[in-house]
Parts: sequence; C-alpha cells; structure tokens
Amino acid sequence: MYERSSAADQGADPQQDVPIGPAGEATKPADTHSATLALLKQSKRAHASGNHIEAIAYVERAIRLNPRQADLWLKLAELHLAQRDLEGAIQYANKTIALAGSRIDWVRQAWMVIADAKDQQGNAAAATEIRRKWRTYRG
Amino acid sequence: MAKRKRPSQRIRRRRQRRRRLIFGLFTLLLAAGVGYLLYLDRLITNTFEGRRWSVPAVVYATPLELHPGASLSRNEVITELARLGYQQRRQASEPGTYSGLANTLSIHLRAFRFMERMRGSQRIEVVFDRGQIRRIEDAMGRPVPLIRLDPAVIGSFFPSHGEDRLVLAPDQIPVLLADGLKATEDQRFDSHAGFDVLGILRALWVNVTAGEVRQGGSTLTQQLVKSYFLDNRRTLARKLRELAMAVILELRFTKPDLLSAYVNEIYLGQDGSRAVHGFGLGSQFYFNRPLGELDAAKIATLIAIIRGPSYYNPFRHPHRARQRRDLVLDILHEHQLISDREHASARNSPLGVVEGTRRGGTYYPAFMDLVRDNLTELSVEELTSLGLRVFATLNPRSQDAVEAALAQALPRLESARGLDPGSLQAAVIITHTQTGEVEALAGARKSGDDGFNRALNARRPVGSLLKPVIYLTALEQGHHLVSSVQDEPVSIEMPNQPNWTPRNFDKSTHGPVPLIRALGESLNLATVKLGMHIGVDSVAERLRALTGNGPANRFPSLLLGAESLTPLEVAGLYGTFASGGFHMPVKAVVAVLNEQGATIAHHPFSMRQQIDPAMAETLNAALGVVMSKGTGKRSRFSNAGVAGKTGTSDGYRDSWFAGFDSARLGVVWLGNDNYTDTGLTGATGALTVWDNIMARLSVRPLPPPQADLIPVDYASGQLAHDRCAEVVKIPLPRGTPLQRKSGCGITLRSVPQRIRKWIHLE
Repeated sequence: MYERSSAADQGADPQQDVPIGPAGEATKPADTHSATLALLKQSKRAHASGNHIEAIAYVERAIRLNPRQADLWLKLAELHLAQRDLEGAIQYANKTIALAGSRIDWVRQAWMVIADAKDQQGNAAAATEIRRKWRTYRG
Repeated sequence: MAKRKRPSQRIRRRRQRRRRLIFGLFTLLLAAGVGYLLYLDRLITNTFEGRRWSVPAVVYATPLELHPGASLSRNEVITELARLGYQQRRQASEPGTYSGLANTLSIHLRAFRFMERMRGSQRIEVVFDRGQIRRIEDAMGRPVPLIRLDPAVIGSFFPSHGEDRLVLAPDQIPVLLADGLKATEDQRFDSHAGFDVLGILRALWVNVTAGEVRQGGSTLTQQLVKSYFLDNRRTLARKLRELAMAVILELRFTKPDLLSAYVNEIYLGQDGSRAVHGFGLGSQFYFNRPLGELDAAKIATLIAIIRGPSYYNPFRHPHRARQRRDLVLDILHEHQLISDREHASARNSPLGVVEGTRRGGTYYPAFMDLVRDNLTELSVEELTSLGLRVFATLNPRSQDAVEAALAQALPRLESARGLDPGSLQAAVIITHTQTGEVEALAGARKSGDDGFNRALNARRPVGSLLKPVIYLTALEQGHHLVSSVQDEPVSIEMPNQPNWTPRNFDKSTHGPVPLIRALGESLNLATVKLGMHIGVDSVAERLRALTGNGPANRFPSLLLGAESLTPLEVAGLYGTFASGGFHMPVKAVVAVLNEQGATIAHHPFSMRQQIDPAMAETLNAALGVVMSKGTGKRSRFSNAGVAGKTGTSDGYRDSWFAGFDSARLGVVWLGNDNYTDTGLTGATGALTVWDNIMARLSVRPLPPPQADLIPVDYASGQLAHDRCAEVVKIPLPRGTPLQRKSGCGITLRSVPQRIRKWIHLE
C-alpha cells in the first residue's frame, strides 16, 4: 500500500521548517541544537536523582522547541517506560516511528521500547515477535 | 422590739432577695457577656486563621523561551518584557528591569519558581541579529543555552464572593509600606492594645480643625476586623463589637502577624466581578509589577487608596488620587521614612498606573474555562483557597493575534456582506499540531464579551468539515486519490420520508472526477456517492473512533456534515490529522504546583495513534491540495504548504475553517447565535479570519510527505506534467494504475525511474 520511502532517498530537505514571516519572506529556521542538548542533560540529571516527573518535563520542554525531532519522542518513551506508564511508552514510541524518517536506528530503538512495554504488559509473544523481526533488520 | 424587728427583718429579707436577684442577674449577664466574648473570640480567631491561608490559585501562561537561534526579534522580546511589567532603565540593576543599546538587551530577570526548579533572579545579556537571537550570556559572560522569561499571570480562581488576593509573606512586605501604613493610619500601632483613644482624639481634632474628614480614628487592627465582616452600618453596637474583636486579636496574635494580615487583606479596588484585596495583588492590578519593585511614589499611591478605593480610584479620579498620594508622601517625609530628595522626586512623578492590566481578574476568560475543565482532579474549594499555581499552555502572543484578527476581520466581513455591525459571533481555537496544547482560544468575537463560550459549548453543524473523514475511510478501504467517482445526481430513499436529493454547492454536476478533486472542490454529489459506496455505517464508525463520540446522525445526510460538533471537538478531530494520525486531548494545563512548589498534578503529553502514518500523510497531502487548488485557494497562504478544509452548513448558518501548518492548527467558526443566515461560506468567512490570524503569526510549511509524490492532472487524475495540465503532486500507493494525459507527450522513458517503479501505467 502506501509504503514510505525513507527521507534519505529523496534527500531530506534541510529547509523544510522555514517559517514565512508576515511579509511573506522566509526567515532562517530556528536553531534549537544547544538548547535541546542543555534540556536533555538536565533531564538526565533529574532522572538519575529519581525526579521522574521533572525528567519528563525537561524532555517535553525540548519537544515544544522542536516538536518533530523523533529522538526526543524516543527519550520520552523511555522515560515513561521507566515510570511503568506502559501505554504512554508505546504511544510515544509510535510517534517516534512516525517521525523517524531515514533514522532506522531510532525506529529500531522505538520498537525495542514497545517490546519491553509489551513484556511488562504480560504479552510476551508480541514482545518476542517484535524482537525477532528487528534482529533480522539489524543484520 | 420584736414588733420593730419584723419590718426590718422583712426589709432585710427583701433586700436580701433583691441582692440575690441582682447578683443572679449580674451572674447571668456576666455569663452571657463571657459567652458572647467567647463567641466573638472564636469567630474572629477562625476568620483570621482562615483568611490567612485562603489564597486563590494563580494561572500562568506558557513562558517565552530564549535561546540562541530562536526566531525572536529584539522588539518582540521588548513587547513581552512590557507585558510582564519590566521597566526600561539606563542600567538593568534590579530585578524587573532591562536596558539595551543597538542590538542587545540586558535583562535583570525576576526570581521565579518554575515546575522543574527555582530560577533565581539574575542578569542576562541577549544579542540579536536580523530577527534572531544570536547569543545569550550570563553576568559572568558565560554562554547561556536556554532561559525562560517569567510567565505572564493570566488569571486566578478567586471564589464566588469575588475576593482575589496574592498573599505576601512577612519578609516580602517592603519596610516603607509597613512604616508608611503606621505613619498614615495608626501611629501607635506598635504600642496600643487594639484601640487608640489618643488616636481617636487626634483624628477628631484634625477633622474638626480641617472642617473635613481627613483622618480616621480606627487602628489598623480595627480596620482589619472591619474588612473581615464588610458591613458599613455605623452603629454603636457594631463599633463596640469591632472594638472587642480588635482587642481579642491583639491578645491572641503578635503585631507582625496582624500587620501582615492587614497587608494581605485590605480592600484596594474593584475589577469587574473581582475584588482586589491586599497589597500584593493591588500592586499587580494598579502597576503590573510585584510590590517589591515599587518606588516610594507608588507605595504612597497604594496607601492613599485604602481610605476610599472608589473615591481615590487612580484610573477614574487621577487628580484626587494624586492629591492624596502627595499628602501620604508628606507624612512619610515628616516621619523621616523618605529623604528630602526622594520626597521631592516622588511628588513630581506621575501616578504611573497601568490601565491595561484591568481585565476582570481573568484576562482570558474563555481559555480559563478550558483550564477549569482540565482540572477535574481539583475541587472548587482547593482551587480557590490553597494558593496553588497552575501552569497553562496559553501563548499570550498567539492569543493577541487571535483577538486582533477577530477585531479586524469581523467588521470587514459585516460591512462587505451588508450584515448588521456586531451581529457575527465567532469562536477560535489554536492548538499545537504535535502536542495538542492550546495556544489561544476565543469563545466570542470579543474576549469577555459575554459568558457564553462558543469554542467549548456551541454545538453547530459542521458541513463539509466532515468530508475528510469519508475520504480517509475510503483510502483505508483501498481507494486512492486518483480513484474515479461519479459526480452526478443522487436520490436516496429514506424511511417514511421523501427521497433525499442533495445538490452540489454550484448546483452543477461534474461527471467522473478523481477523489483528489472531489475533496478539493468539496463536491457534494461525488462525496455522497463515495460515502454510500463505502457505507454510512463505516464512516460513522470511523468518526466515532477519531473523536471518541459516535455521531448523533447515522443517516446519509451525515456524509454532508449534518452533524453538530463544538469547535473544541473539531480541533480534536483535525488535531489527529495535523499530528500525523495521533489523537490528542485538546489540553490547556501542564502542571499544578502547591504553595511549597511541589508538583501535585502533571498532565503529560497524551496521544493515541488512530491513523496509520502513511495514510495520514496522504490525507494531509489532499488537504494541501484543497488549499492550493480547491475551496481554500483564496487563502493568502494557499501555496505556502498548509492544509485545511472549509465547511458551510445549510442556509449559510455556519462558516467553518480548520487548517494547519507544521506547528499550528487553527479552527475558526463564524455564525449567529440565533441560527440566521450569515451569507458566508467557509471560504468567504472563517477562512479569511484564519488567514488574518496566521498572517500575524508565522507560517511554517508542512514537511514534505515521506512517500514519493506523483504529478497528476487535477481535473482528471491522469499522469501529467505541469507544462500541459494543472498538476497536483500527491502520494499514491505502489502499483496504482494510471492513465497518461493525452497531449502531454508522456512516454515510458519520459517518466522518471523512481515514479515508474511506483505506479502502473495503463
């Protein structure tokens, strides 16, 4: 059906998020790189000291700055998994997969989060099936 | 003797009886008095303790994030600083001020307790470059990757009796205010026992010699009691009661306790339905700044207001207020609380009140309704008394854009269409496409116009806004965007009713058309044909899954949108499309903190995948074609990479538009409350408002679909190129059979390898 070619095939457009100002002309896209890194570092620190809600809040803040960056959603999925919010973790992993484009490594990690969540939900068969499928992908 | 004794005995007995009676009465009175005092004691002590901790929840907007690379101009940041009451100075030497030359801004941030952590007061230097932030440094010159301004206060949950306050801790009360209150209102506050005979005599003397009431004889403690029981009858009994209570308070509590209670309690003005109590809120209300940042002149103004908040209202009676302020300044000077120089410069300064902050206590009442709806875990009691802090998703900049757009666009529409001025009503919701967070919400054409929140509560027929659900269902059942459907008259049998014979908007028919065009031009007949083919039930079922509610209408007229939804529900439906297939609750609250700063509620991003990503991408590409070629092509952003759909209900009663770019979804409804004809379609009405809003924000094109895009003729759905046809580029499933448009000279070799792989040429 509607297979999606990976973004790499068509050369992902780095200018895809160019805002058009009120005057109709494009301005430079916002660079959120250093801001995102700072937030992820703070999230990690909060997580390490057991402040799960804070850790999640930092990642959500990073997502608000850069809402289509798949690895931020992956981070969120992992934090929700750690908090045993299994349904949440699965949904954020789905979101990661939807946004990941050519980053197969992120897609794979998202599927691993789903597998872990399925395991903890008592659905070992589904978890095994996912892991089996992605083992072959890796090769 | 005995005879003489008798009467005296009788008298003695009588006296004894009388004495006993008097004693009894006295005891009774004493008991009653003691009882009454005990009652007063309990009443005043409970009131005092209760009020001390009864603090309405404050709601904050989303803060502005500053970071290198952010698309924020220096002027945009200055606008935001002004909103927060920051003052421009030559040097940003204290919290709440900023300064700046050329392309930099030096900002002295106030301390603020955010959800994740406390941010102390600090100075930052922001350097701008062509509409962007180039770098941010702290006071030591170190780079700062990211920092937030404090969030704007957007409302509070004050109780129904209307008292709103921002409680200050004793150490937050400026010394000048405390000393100034004593100097002007109660000079022997530190020594008296709740009442002040000398003070009363002095006031009497001053008033008699001045020939007018210039001073009151009430102590601060008495004023405090009076303000607890808001009763303006001047009876002796009431005065005595007040006096007794004042004495009781003095016996029970310390002077500093009483003074801070006074500072937090005293009535300082009326703001619509909200009563402004205490100096903390008074400072925000009159000056849009925290109390700690006020200079002598402004503190004197607040002290001046106590005596008569409506008589000395600085907005309505600036002259009176200023005279009284100057009198207060003189007293402060007399008591050596301010220097000669401070006194002179304060007397010369204007009142400096800020009119803009007076908006009934909830500056964004429609948005606040949604905040309340989102806080189901908290009771009214908790929201109005626990001093909670609610972090909400409102973006004041987007909200301003919505309100300005409505104020400009609606009168234009009314005059262009010959409608009565002011007759059109409106509702708008702006959400973030990837998180579902509400950035702006309008429940009426003018914020706070009336109590009816149309964005949340007006349930109106959606018309063609429902069509994307039908096309999505068809795509999911194996149709594709170039599948052909007949746009021809239909007549559907209805049980116990005449046949249903819908018509196209332009009353014509178009024969066989590809789905992409049927949706683009919102063709009713083709849509009904398609809907009947896939089944009304499966469309209804799909709608139920997407919105969480089954449609009330399960008849074929559902296919043309004879189904009523609120703008909020429409935002939920289109949010699912805009996010790439994830249903998200439309959300207004991020977190709630208690008085100590602990998070007591966190509303994380919440979503559930409802549409396969590739399918959502295909639908969104089709909604992009609606904008570039179809009913949305009049939009000024029709070719800016946005997607959307117009909707018009029967008899032009409802004009709808729902559209999104990469970052924002905007749903606009226009209509009349009495369901009369507006003469507006979705395109001529709601779309123009959406355009007006988006023009004030910045449009970010949707990312290109991840699937290959195939160029087809919009009219016929045949493979074409833009030299020979009006071409739209759309995703199609692998192996889709396609005809070549004749006259385009398309040969197998002219088709790029990539596309040849994808389609099946016939």
